[in-house]
Amino acid sequence: MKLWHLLHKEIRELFNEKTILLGVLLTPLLIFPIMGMAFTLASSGGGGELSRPTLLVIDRDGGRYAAILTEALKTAGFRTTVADHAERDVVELIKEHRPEAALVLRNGFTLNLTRGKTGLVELYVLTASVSMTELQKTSTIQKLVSDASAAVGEALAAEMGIAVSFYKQPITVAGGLVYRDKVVASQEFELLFQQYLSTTLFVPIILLMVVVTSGTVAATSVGLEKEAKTLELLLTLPISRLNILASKLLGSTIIALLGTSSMMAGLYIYFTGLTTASGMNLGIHLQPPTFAFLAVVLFVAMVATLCLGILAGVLSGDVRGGQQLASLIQIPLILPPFFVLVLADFSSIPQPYSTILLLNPFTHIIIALQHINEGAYASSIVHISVMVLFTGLVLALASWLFRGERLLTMRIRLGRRSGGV
Amino acid sequence: MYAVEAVGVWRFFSKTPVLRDVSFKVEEGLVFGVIGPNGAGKTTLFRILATLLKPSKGAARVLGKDVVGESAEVRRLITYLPEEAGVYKHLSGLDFLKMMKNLYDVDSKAVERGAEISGLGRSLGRKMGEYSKGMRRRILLASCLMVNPRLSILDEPTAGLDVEHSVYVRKTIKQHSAHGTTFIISSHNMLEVQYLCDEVALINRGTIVEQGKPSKLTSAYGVQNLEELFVKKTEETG
Repeated sequence: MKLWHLLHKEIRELFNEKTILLGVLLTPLLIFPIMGMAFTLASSGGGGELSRPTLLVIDRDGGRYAAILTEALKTAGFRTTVADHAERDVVELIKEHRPEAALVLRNGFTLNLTRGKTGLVELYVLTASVSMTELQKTSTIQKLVSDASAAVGEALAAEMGIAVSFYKQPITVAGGLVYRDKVVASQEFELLFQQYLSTTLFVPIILLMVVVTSGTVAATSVGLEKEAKTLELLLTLPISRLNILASKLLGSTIIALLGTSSMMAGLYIYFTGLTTASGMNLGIHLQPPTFAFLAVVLFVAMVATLCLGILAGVLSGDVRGGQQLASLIQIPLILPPFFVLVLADFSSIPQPYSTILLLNPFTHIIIALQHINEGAYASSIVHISVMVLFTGLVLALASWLFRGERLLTMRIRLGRRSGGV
Repeated sequence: MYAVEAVGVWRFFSKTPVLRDVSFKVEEGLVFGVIGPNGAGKTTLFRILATLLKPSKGAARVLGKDVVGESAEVRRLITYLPEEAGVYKHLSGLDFLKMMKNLYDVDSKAVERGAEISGLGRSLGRKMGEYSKGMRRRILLASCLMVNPRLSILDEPTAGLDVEHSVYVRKTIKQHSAHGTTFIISSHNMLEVQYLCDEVALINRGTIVEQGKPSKLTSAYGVQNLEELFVKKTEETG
């Protein structure tokens, strides 16, 4: 019962900390939908306008094949405008017509093709900025021009009675990608890549942000007691040290639970938005078991970092020291497995390095995430268990430090402190 | 039974002795003052009695309970107001008093008593982070006294307070002492000590160099007040 009264105090104090509200609760809830919107916006922004991009054709040739090419460009998907005074400067013509691209058909284009030589054209793409959308636009325009060029080639071959498409592509490759025991058309590869970004990169990144914030917050909760000089008073109250530790951990756990819920809600919105926007059905929307396992992993990761944070708070003298120590403990533990496992598959890592990585408890979190993404729930449980064991050990250490007078007398100082006045 | 009984208490920080063979007894119901210069060991002694620190050697008992072996029992009998103690800035004064009442598991009127002792009136509804230093000291003192402890250890209860608040705190201590609470207090204000304390111990360099009733001590040393005695004894003992 006394624990409840302490817990009430902890929650009141923690909930009023802006870092918790922003870092643990609001950030994960907002960041996924914002990220999803950004992707959708970037894709639809480029794709929508580029379905029929505008092309200014500057015909300085005037021959038959120039006309065939112009027609092929329309067929390929361009909305073409032919410049009236083709001899004028290209940049001036672009300024006047404001197309998305301009194609100059040089004098002699038709003649060259008639003589069996390549015809030369110049393609200018208007680029407003260096961004994914603009790169996508350039790529699309180049592809459409290439399609039109192929069409001219086919026209030339047809005139000579050659079945060019047969010679160019005598073999048809069918099939696609097999993903999660499901055949996916190659065209959907981009969508698969988006999923890779989502599950392999963004989930761990957000997890990283949230757990680091949680650990820092837990360190703050203990450091604050020391800095605000409430710790001595607290330790002389008729309550056990374990109750004090438990209230701090429970208070932080409630925050962690809310943080996990916030993150899961954000993830849900993101995945729903992603699948709806792309119209795909790859089974990448979160199935209930995936969602549940992800929640467990995120929660365990948070509790582990909360315990580390409390440990840092116990070992430091004030809030700043606690936060610094928490970062110093957490960052080397979390970052290496994150970067290694995001860039490489665990099975491809040479033996000694993989063993070293496995000694780091946070490696198991990333591997568990990967297994959950692959639907290998049973093997994810093994890695979750390792993390739970690690959390228990850290908790035991924190509770040992909470007993006796270590909480008051232990100080780990990072760097030099200027002397007080 | 004595409220406090310390026998040969030593306390080292690393190899530095902060308390050296400290022995004294405090009878129940007294206001016992511990006076001494900065760094004399007063706060360390208080922390040992409040179960925060352990003696390196010797033993201390509070109301018959050993501060090391029976620390949980000791904590149920005492309240401790540390020097420069802070407050939970997001809790209101009233919430804080309620929390203390629940943690000490005392009668439901404790909060009313606390509110009255604090004298903070409507400000009790405000967050303690908004309180002035004087208001914070008053709410903390109220939390110490409202649970009717058998022993209250107050480390410099009026430090940093203005005259008005200091007078208020002294008056409150006096009132509760009359109702049987034992107090151990420290102070640098010798007038305050003379006014409040039934008995004093002068501590210097970790050793109690003199102990007794203020009036007897001043007459024994032929000085007019405790301030003169303090200066004389600290000069004598280095």
